Amino acid sequence: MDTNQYLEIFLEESEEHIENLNENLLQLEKNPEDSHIVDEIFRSAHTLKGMAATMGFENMTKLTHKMEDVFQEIRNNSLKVSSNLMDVLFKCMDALSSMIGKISQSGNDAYDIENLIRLLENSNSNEEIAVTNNSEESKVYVNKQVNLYERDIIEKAASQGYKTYSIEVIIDKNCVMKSARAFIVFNTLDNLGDIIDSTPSVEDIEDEKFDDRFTVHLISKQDKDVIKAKLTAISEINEINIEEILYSKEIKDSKNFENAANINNDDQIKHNKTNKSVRVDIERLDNLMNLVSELIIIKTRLEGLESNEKNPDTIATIEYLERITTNLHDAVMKVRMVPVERVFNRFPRMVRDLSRELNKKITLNMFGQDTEVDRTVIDEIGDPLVHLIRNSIDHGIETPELRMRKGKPETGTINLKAYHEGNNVIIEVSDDGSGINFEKVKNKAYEKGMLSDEEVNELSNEKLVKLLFEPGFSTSDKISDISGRGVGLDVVKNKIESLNGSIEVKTEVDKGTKFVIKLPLTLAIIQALLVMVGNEKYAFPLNSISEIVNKNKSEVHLVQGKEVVMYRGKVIPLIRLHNVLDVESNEDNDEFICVIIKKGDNLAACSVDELIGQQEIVIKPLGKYLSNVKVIAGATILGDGQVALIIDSNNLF
Amino acid sequence: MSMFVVTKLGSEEYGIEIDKVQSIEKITKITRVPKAPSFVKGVINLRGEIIPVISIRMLLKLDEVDFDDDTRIVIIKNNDIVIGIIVDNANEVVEINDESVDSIDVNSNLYKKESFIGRIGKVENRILMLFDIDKLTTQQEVKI
Repeated sequence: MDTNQYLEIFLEESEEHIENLNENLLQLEKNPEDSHIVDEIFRSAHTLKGMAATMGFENMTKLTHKMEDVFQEIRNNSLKVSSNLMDVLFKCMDALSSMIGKISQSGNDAYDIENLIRLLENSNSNEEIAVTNNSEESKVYVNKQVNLYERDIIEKAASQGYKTYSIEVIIDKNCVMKSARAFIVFNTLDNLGDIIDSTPSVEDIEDEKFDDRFTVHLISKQDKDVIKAKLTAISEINEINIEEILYSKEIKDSKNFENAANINNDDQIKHNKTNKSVRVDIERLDNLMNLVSELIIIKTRLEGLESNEKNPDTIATIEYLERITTNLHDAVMKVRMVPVERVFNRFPRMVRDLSRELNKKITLNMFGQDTEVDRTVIDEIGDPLVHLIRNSIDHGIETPELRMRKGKPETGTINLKAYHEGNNVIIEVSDDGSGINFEKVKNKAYEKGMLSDEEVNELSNEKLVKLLFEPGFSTSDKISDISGRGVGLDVVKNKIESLNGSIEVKTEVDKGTKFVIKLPLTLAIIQALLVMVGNEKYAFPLNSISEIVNKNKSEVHLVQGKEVVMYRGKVIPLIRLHNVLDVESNEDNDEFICVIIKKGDNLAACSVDELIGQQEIVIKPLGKYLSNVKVIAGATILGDGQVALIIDSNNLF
Repeated sequence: MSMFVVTKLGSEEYGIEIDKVQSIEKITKITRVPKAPSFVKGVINLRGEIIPVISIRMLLKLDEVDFDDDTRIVIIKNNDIVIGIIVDNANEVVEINDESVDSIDVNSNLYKKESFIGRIGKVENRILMLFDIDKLTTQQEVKI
């Protein structure tokens, strides 16, 4: 079979399943007894195996098959979830990811899996011995699977002398009509008593949506052995495991657990829903976006003509067009939006691995995973966030002993939060670690010759924070695998600024550090303020503007040779835009217009000659050839076909 | 056998490989880009795309001339970099036999200032200086 045409789908879906598996494995590690999670994992692993086998990737099939065996044992409760086992499983996940990577690059899944398979097999055999000793425990587990409604029935049945059994039926692997066999089993059981529940559900069993085994709960007056004898009489049944469900107090304790499991289930449903979508090539979306951009440019042009137009019909039509294009723009934007979940998903795993590696105890809390951001931003924001979280784990969170000595809880916390604020998306990475040690920063900077003698004594903490973002700066004494090579924060800052965003740090000694990243919702179409400087038109992104004020010449003061103005009780630098842009200024009045621009908490005043107005503009890059021009973020085409350049206010001061 | 677009700077003739030429445009409004190198005249709006335009005269250290009706912007695409170069005239395509194309002697004083010329092509009794497109389109990155 020619499978090439399916390769892309295979790759995409595999990635999705691997992501899903990773996530669920993490959940499983936290709630090792939750059968829903195991089921979910089993499903993903099974699908993955099937897909790999269809595509003919043998190594991948082999590995997933072995993993499936392990999951099966976990599901049967014959294997206990331990962190060692989890390590092995996570290693397998890594192997799968790299196989996927290999397949997409070279089309084959060459990978040494022997080691992993041995590890997986070992984890199997160890536990097989343990099974017999653990039967007591498995009974409790069965109990926990029973939901409230069933419990009610079981309680009533018990009071009338009925017994409740959990019966696991394993059908021969070679059986051709599994559902028919299952049907016979159900029929037989129906004659013996009442079936109150089955996993998978009866519908799924009828549709053969099960592997080779299913479990039913039966209420019956019959003895265990009688039932067993009746069932074994059915052909092509390999094994029957019958356990009586004993109603004990433990069940009542498990109520909380049940709730937890339910919540999880809801998450699962939600998750599955988000996956139900149409796959569209990003290029097609980009194309659509370009067309909308063109439409907006034409619309702006029509609006320009409208002012000369006397015919009320024309005016009404143009206004209608405007409404439609705005809606269309919004709709296309929404299509391009993806939840930050896509980036966040990889962090729990990363935090887990790193904290084990460093022997630190860390909980990662994530908020607002469903916050949506433009696809282009999502692709770019991953690496900076990895840097920041690694930093927090390595430099921020202390070792458990040190935390105890400081009187903090042993387990450190990292919070990852995303939310919308106006036209921006804010992503916060905060930890409750040791905070930034300013003395250390100072000394390090001094050592590296970034500070002079005077500066060392004078610099405020805010200024020191800025040093952290300088290239080649790291306070870590020793270089570790995780961070400290001094290539961290400046890269983060550059990346974020290239996305027209900004980053700020708030830190307090022994309380923790918080990085706040602010990003524009979209990179393609923005609201901008058009201004004149000399004879040239420039655009300021509206989200970088704080206010527009008029200033008089007499209000300009000189501080160390630099012009400053007072703005709301603060002294802020005055940037003569015509100087920066090398234009002759036309204005020579005492009064001049200042656009107050902001970069994080910092403000600056920009003098401009004239304000034209607010407009929706489409950002076009200047292209690679001019990528070194710092003060210009891009260009836009105005309604009349003219080009206006967009000021990069982050690079103005 | 390769084809070249013949562009003129004064009386000198320059050739550009035809498969690197995207289009030839009449001069339009050029928007100056501040802080860009002086030979970058600015950017133009080419059917919705922003294209940087450079003065090839300035790059070759020739005197600049005013634009007239014959002035053209030749849009060159090399890999993913697109630029426009301003020439006095561009209205001819010639075919040159591969054996009539010589690489230039780098050490010769004759060509030193014009390092953007990669090869020399000969057609009948004309001499065509052939632009080194790779160099032309990466100039920015080398310079800074």
